Amino acid sequence: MTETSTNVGAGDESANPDLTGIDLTPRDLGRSPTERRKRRSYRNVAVLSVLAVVLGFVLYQALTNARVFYLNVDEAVARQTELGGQTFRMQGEVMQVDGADASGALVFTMAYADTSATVRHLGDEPSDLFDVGQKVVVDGRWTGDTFESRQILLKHSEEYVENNPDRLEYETPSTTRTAP
Amino acid sequence: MYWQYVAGGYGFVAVGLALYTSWVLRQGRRLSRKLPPERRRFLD
Amino acid sequence: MSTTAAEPTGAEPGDKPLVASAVNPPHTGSVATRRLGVAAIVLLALTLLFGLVLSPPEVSQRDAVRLMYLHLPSIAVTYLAFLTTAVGSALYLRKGSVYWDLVAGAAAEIGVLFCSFVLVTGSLWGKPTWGVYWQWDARLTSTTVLFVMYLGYLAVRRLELPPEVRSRRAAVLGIVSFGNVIIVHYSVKWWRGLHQGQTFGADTKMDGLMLFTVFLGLMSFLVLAAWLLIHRFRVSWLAREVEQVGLAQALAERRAETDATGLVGRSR
Repeated sequence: MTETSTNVGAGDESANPDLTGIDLTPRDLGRSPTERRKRRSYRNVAVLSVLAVVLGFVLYQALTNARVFYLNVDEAVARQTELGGQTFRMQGEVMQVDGADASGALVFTMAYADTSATVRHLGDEPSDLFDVGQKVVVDGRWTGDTFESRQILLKHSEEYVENNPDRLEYETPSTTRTAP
Repeated sequence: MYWQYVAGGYGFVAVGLALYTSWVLRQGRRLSRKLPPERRRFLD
Repeated sequence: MSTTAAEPTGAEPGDKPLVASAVNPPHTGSVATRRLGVAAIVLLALTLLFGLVLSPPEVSQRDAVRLMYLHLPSIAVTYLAFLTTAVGSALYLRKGSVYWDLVAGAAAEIGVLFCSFVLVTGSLWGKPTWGVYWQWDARLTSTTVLFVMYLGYLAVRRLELPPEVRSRRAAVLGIVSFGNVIIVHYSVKWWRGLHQGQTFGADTKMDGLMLFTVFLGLMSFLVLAAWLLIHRFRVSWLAREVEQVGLAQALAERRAETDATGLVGRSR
């Protein structure tokens, strides 16, 4: 960071035509100025290359992930045969939570535009916001007519409601999750 | 609930601002001292 | 944050009430920045008070919503800073004035700082709400691109090139990169993603005290950013002056040497 300031508008000999023929290099430096310059420009080129690689990686993510981040439930259902066992993300509203089945998977129904799907989730617990009425994005694939999910992401809305102190202490969606 | 995330966010911003602000101010002092007073004028 | 904001006053030499030092201070402060600094401290303190104490938790996000009071103001400052860079760059290309080149550079640095705040507060907000710190959705991905591009811009400003060439390249990059700000802003409309849609618009749905706190945060960050921009610009300006004084000095010394030896100065 320190370099920025000393570098900004750094004097350049070519900018002053009357200086030709006079050596302006400071004399008390250990390393020769050309050497210092070379080092600095190598470093800058290195920094720029690293940034270019990072940018490349991020743009790759943009094209693979961000372009079509999810399919809505109706689209996922319509394309079920085409998708086969491919993993993708599916978005919809949680309609009903059935709780854990015999294998310990969290089973719930989600829907979008009047099309619903049953989801079996076996990954980590979703965030505390998970509840009936919340929009979620599940990551996984079709196995038969059931969507096997390995990750549940909560898609919270841009609506911000005060947790009024008069209101009863808000309950985490325990009613929908403690079912055996 | 979730205070640890709140603390992390506010802490990061506070530290970031503190470091950058003090760096800028110190640079200003360091460079000013290298200049004769008549070249340190800023329009106010 | 109030402690960091307290530093503006530290810049002012209250200990030396000399008239001369007030007119030509050995630092980048001035009457204007002192006033801005005081305003920033007051506003930041209020933001902390409202953001952490007085504003209510949100119904489902609970206290995690408090990250919004830093996240939204940070992105606003980021947008404005990069806009300043673009305008400064355009004016530099048109007028060729070093002044605008330095403004563009100073603004970009501040924009990158606040963009890092956006990414970190957003990520910390994501964990308790979405369930993850990070997902490559359109908004998050484009914001990362924004951050990296402007880091690149700052790196270009430090390349060893003749100053005019470097400034011109930086200016072109400073204008082109602004396109990404527009992509970031509309990314939640153009693509599907995890990030929520635009909060503020015709139908803002936010309860009163939360809304007030967001605006308080916005005001405090804008004042702080303006204060930072002035100081950062002055640092760049001083650096330039130091270069020129150094150059003039070296020149005088060499001339004196050549006069003394009676030789034409050509030591290389």
